[in-house]
Amino acid sequence: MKNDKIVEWNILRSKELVHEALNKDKIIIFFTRIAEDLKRYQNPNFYGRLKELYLLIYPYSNIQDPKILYKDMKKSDFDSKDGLILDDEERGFVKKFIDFLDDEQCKIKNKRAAVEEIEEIQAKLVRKYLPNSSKLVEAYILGKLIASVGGIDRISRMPSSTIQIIGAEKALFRHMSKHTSCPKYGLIYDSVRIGIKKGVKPREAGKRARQLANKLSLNLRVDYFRNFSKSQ
Amino acid sequence: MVFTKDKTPRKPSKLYREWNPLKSKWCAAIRKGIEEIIPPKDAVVLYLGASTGTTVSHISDLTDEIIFAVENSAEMAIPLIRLAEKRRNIAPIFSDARDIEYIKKAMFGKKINILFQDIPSRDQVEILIKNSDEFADKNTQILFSLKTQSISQQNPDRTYREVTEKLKKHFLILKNISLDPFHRKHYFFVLSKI
Ligand SMILES: C[S@@+](CC[C@H](N)C(=O)[O-])C[C@H]1O[C@@H](n2cnc3c(N)ncnc32)[C@H](O)[C@@H]1O
Repeated sequence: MKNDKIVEWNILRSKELVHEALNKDKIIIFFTRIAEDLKRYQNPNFYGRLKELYLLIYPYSNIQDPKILYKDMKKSDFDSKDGLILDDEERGFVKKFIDFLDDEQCKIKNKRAAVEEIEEIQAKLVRKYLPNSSKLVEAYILGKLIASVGGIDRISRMPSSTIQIIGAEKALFRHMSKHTSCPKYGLIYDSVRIGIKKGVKPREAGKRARQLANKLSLNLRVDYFRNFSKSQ
Repeated sequence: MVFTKDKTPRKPSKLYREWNPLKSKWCAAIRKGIEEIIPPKDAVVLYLGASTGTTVSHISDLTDEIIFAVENSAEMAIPLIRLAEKRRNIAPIFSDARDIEYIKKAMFGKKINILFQDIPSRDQVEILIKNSDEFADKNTQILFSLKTQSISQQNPDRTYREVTEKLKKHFLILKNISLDPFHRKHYFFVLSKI
């Protein structure tokens, strides 16, 4: 067979296989980041995020111009041939996000409504795909945990001692290079179950965080194998 | 500095691209003096652990033949496939490098001249042996980038010695160097089949 035919065959075949392998954690991470952006910034410009979303659904597109991209998204049905597959509910979520953006600058039109809506969407997605883990910690924390390690497959392979300190990497790095005390405060510590805000003492908080991370790591594995792993 | 002549130049004035040894173990090995691994124009390459195709793009500049680029992470494979669409001579293979049967199918019986591997996994040596058993012969140049930390947390020198012993059972070791200072705790081997 000629080289260009071999190249062609592999491009097509690989696109199909990638299409099947793309996991829904990408859309969870996406909405988690939007919710975070809204919390962190006054009035963020979402062009970069819109492009991220576009490339999730149409990974091989070459559109560069922001205006064209926005218009394209506005009329899209989000039916992906080779990117992330979304069900009807998820397409609705994506559409809602895009409808919140103004066409001039890709900024949020009605911030208060958007914050509420996006947080609800994020929580719904988390509960749908991580039904067990989301009973243990708040949806926004779970989303941030997964986003910060880059995916559900990675977190489901981590020992609970690592899960406990996700989000405290900077402190961990300091600990290893400068021999300061080992960090205790990962993302998990924001959970009401730990009770920091209610004045629980650090020692007790540490104990609770360890127990929570233990349970969480088991449940993450269950959720991963039920809803994400393709090799069954 | 190492440059390759760009097969897809963006501007007529910029015909060459810098090949960065900090981003490419292959280039780092060249910079450390192993010049015989600069691929010739007619090289057919099997590249295991292609990632987004940073190094693959330079190999694609250098050879007019085909590069089979194997990568098993969907996130990395997307930019790799995009790269393959822009160039004519990269066959992106979305597969585990351990899945010899699939890779064989995707190569359509093409014989390779160079086998390159950069996969930081615990069983990286076994992956290399498996692939060279299937795809290499005595004339194939086998290039192996070793990351000792992925095999064991013990002293890198010790892992390096153990790996060398294992390799000797299957290959002739033509060259072996450390990739320091470009890549710490990484080693590079030029091998051929016994
Ligand atoms: C260090 S990166 C390679 C960088 C690349 N050689 C370059 O210079 O541009 C290693 C890549 O191997 C991939 N990889 C890891 N295990 C693999 C496996 N079993 N099969 C195929 N690819 C694998 C990883 O996803 C990662 O993208």
